[in-house]
Amino acid sequence: MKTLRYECSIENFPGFRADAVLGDTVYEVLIETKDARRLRTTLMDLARVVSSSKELRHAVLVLEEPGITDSRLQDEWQGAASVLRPEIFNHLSAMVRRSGKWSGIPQSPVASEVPVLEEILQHELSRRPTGASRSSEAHYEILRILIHQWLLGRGPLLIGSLMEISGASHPTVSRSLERLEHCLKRHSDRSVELRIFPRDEWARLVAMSDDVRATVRFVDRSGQARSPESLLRRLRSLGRQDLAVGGVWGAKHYQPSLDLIGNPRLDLSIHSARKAADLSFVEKLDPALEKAARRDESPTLVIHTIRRAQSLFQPAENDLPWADPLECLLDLHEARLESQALDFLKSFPATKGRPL
Amino acid sequence: MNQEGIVKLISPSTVLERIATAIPDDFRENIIVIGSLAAGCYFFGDNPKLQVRTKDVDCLLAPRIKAIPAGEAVANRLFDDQWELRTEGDWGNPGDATTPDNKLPVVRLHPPGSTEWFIELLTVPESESDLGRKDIRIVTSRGHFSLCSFGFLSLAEFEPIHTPFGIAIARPETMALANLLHHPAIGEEPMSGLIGGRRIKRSNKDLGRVLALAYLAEARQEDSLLEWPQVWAAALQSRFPTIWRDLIPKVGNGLRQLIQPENETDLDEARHTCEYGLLVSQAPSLKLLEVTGKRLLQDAIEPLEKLAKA
Repeated sequence: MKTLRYECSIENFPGFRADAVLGDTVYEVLIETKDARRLRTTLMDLARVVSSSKELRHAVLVLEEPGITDSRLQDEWQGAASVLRPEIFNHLSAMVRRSGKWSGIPQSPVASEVPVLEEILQHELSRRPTGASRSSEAHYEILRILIHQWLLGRGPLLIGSLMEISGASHPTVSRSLERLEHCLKRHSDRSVELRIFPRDEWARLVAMSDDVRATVRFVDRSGQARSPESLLRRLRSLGRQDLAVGGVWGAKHYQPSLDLIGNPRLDLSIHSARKAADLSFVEKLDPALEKAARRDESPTLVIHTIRRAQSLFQPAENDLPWADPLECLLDLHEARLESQALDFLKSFPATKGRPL
Repeated sequence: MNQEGIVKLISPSTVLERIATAIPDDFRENIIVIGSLAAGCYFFGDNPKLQVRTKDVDCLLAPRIKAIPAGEAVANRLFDDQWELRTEGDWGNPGDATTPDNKLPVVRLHPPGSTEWFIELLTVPESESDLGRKDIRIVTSRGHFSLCSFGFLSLAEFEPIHTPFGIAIARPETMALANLLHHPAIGEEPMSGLIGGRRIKRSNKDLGRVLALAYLAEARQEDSLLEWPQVWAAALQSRFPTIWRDLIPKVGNGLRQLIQPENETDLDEARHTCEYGLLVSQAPSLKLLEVTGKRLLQDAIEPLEKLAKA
């Protein structure tokens, strides 16, 4: 019986370690790559494995949620075909997973291949650090945690707690706190809190919110859109606790007197270590929903990814949790409900009577 | 264009009232209208601007025990009132005592002075094992005819909706279920006539009807498909008490096949029949029908399948 092996060195290819090997097949995994050069380099590495190894006859490039379109992938594939000898190139393939669905070049995986691909992918994903990994994303996670703490009037937060909630390392947290020094109050017990509302940092966060929260918008493509209320009812029946309700619903949960009538769309936060969270559940809410191609399309469903180690979701008894109030505030900004966002911000204990 | 390609728009409630007034009082309670007209009455009978394109008005005579006297009385009354036999096709002339049952024509009658639509008399199968086509002889003042029963027509008899005109219409849910069970796969048999100038497979027309009913149900009340499995389960248990569990796994097969990407040609035939039938006032796109099929699977068929396994 063939066994999956990970992190394998390859004969005649010093310094290279394959992500996985099964029988005569070698696998390399790229997660959320947007970098065509990295794609080309990995293809060339795999071609070299096939040409130099006597045992490994096939090479598979596994792409998880690539930030490269299918047509661009095809172009890159043809480019590789033009420079590689056919006896090498014909032993290469690529398997692509988008929104939980597999496709492939030159062919999609057969049903028996999918469990192996999933296992390799899960192994690779489990090796990735949880929480925010890129420093700018980590900074905005830490900023959001501090503002959340401040808005709710919860007082100082130990740096250790900040690391636990964000999932970021001590150096990353320290760098972020240095950046926020001008509006920070440090305490002798190694705890910190905001002195004032960090207006400039907040404005930057609002401007970058789509990227920071990996926001994905879904629009109806059928012409018979389901209402956000219907989507929410269906979501409740899934019983997920890694999904939380935000947006207008969330804001009204925290501040019922807010001037918001109707629910033009449903905003959800998903707690996921991966930037490209698994959104395959959307089809269960409505098979008519597809990712919006343009920013100006009116979405029915908007999903934001929370990558920090602790979600800060507010649990609800026998119901879906609520996204934290700060996420709801960002959702209102994202939906261009600026005056309601300001009213919501002013409704917190920390902001009452203070200039913002 | 073939005559069957030019089917006029009719107002469902106007036609239903016309039929009801033509039926003898004693037998109105034995008539259940099924098909496009029933669906049209249910979904937009109160809106005169919304019409349906149909030429045949199928009238189910039920219960089976009263079908023969009801069929004979209704046919004789309509003949007396100058309704005329539809003569197109192979089955225009009445039979006699020597005509074999399976060669008898079905009662198809135009109202006096109009050939835009006609009624057709049918009945329900005798038992749950009686799924093939059966012809029951009725003797009228104009000769011998067949009251035809087939397939899953008995489902349409389940809890019909009563109208102010004294005759009932079948529920959209049960008509959809009957069509789904009738077509567990896309069949090759074509319709005898053209629809909107196109030759269409019967299965695509009937499964297209299912999609049209599901679309209209959702348009009328969001999430209403979620209530269909309960009605379906009750109808199946009532009309097929010993085999309902065996039938349920077959309910979604034809629809699943129809919405596969490789069967887009068949789905387009279904779309075409919707455009030339129930959805003439709101022509659907292929995408809408595909999504409607997926919604029906999620909301009604999969829960029904789970119910059968429970």
